[in-house]
Amino acid sequence: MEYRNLGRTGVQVSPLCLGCMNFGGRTSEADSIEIINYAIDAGINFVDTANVYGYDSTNFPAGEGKSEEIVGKALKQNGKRHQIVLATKVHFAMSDDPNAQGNSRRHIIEQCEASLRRLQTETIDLYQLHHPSNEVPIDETLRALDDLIHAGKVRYIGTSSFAAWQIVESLWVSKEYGLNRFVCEQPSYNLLDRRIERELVPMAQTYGIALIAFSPTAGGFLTGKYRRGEPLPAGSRFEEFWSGTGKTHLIPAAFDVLDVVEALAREKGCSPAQLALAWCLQQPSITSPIMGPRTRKQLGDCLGTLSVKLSPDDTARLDEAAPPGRVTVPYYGADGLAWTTWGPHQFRW
Amino acid sequence: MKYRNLGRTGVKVSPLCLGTMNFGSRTPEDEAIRMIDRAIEAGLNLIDSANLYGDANEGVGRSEGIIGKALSRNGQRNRIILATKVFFPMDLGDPNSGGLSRRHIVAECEASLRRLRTDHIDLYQLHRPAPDIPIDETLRALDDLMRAGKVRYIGTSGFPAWQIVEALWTSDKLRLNRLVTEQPFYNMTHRSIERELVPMALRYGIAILPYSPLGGGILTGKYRRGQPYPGGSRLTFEKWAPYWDDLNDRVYDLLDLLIEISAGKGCTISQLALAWAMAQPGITSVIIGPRTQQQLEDNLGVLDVVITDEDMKRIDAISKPRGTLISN
Repeated sequence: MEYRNLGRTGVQVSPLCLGCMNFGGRTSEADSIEIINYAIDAGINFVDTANVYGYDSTNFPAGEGKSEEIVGKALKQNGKRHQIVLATKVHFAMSDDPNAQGNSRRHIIEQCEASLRRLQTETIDLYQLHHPSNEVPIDETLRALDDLIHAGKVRYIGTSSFAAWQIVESLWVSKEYGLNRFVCEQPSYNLLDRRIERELVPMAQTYGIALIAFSPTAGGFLTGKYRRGEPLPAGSRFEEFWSGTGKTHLIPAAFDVLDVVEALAREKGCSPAQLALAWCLQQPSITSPIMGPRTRKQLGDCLGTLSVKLSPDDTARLDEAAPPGRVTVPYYGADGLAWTTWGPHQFRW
Repeated sequence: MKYRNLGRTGVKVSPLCLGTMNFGSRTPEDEAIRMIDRAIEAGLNLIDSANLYGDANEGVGRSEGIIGKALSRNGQRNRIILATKVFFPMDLGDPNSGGLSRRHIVAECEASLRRLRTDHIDLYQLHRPAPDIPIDETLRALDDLMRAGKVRYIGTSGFPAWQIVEALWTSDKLRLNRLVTEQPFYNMTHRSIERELVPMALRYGIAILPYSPLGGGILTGKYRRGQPYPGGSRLTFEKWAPYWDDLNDRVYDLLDLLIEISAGKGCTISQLALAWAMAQPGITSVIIGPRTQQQLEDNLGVLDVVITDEDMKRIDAISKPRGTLISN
């Protein structure tokens, strides 16, 4: 396994990260633990979860920490906690209490303690803001995160779905106040939505921010399981979980990109999912795409990516089908939220 | 005319800005001067140029020269918020004749002042970011020009949002005057700036002055689905960023909708496209780039066009908010 630096930190992570969003929800505890062990045995040392994960279509979006509990149990059982770079997140609502969400000092500290208990560990390696907030000035948030680092409860801090300018603003605040800074951002990034190449990627390369991409297969679309004009496969994400988004996501232009992915995958003798993941992890800006397997079989397919190598010609063909910086389908619904949460903020720092 | 604040400054500008890229090249001097007078008469008080605008063969700087002549003739310099830019090479044989170095900026500011026949520039803009020079050198030079009274405000063009925040950080740290405007490429076919730049600008009081609101003429309706491009139109002789590719069906779908909405309002397609841009959040003044008096007259008509929420919704459904219908 070729490990990579996590941005400007001294930490090495595998070029694929195990995402745990399905664990405790659509994936049973036993299956989840088997998946975690299999990934670690294959050399994966980077595991990403969130306090809210563990939901399925019945209890979305409050998973109440089930995913973290499973990760904690698995790492306790296999004794591998020390070799894992363990990442989790805070922001989304844990209950209907108005203070049980967001990026306030109060909620962040409370949830960090709760995540540590669920994960059965003394420290979180990478603690991420799951989403920006336009209600809390970033200095409050950064001071809370810095205190957690000083207290030894967190090693590094990062973000998810932040705008590039918000990260630069955060770096400014950290520098101004002498606080620990963000080292990692987790954006959605796949062949159907390459917009981060316009601002986030050059910013991240300038400042040594690691990018760990979520939805590298566009929520399973680039695996080829959805077919033009055919019913959605039972139990698939768009059928069971994102049923409302099929209309906007499963569009002809998206299938046109999939055609190219599938043709190239056939030529290279790999699966479409492996091709989509390989493209993502070979982008020079990307540290580690996050795979979100629901089953042990899906994980096996994802891990096969590590032996797929794309040539410049392959990349050029993909660029033609899905040009740099362009969006074919906006991932996620984050686009609906983007206007409110990417500013303008209520308070300047 | 409803004037708008230029970002967080105390200056008021018209929601339409006269862009002068064609002056001295595709538009002859006498017609350009008549257009400047006409725009001022209609209430426009923001004029935008750049040091290199003009005829590539007969010499850059002719656009500024024409503006200087027009304003000294009509005596309206005092009323005008005069904007120009620096960055692109003025002499391809001289490696120091472009860029954002202190040396080039100070030299070009003096040259622009001479061509514009004025003692100060109201808004001096960096025409593009320069990756080969730290922003503090550039900001210190601009700040000195402000302190010397040669420049009133400073801004950018073609900057990503994160680089503007980085520049604000630097200004704050070094106690320098800060950037107050950004001039991006923006129209219904290309809405990428809504993703990062617009929210950032709203937060920091940066005025956005979009250029190419008609997509280089695409949103005038001169190009029709299934028909060859009309003779002499821009796409027949120039492939320019971001219009490298031929127009696609999604652009023609948008044009069909604009034809329908504009017919209902009794306005032109270009007026509708301008009205749309003027009504977008964060947009302060939309830069028109007329080549002829006739085009200018058409554009000025936008000031009477009312665009409704329903129009905006229908346009959003076809153009892509935060995305683009065309290639890079």
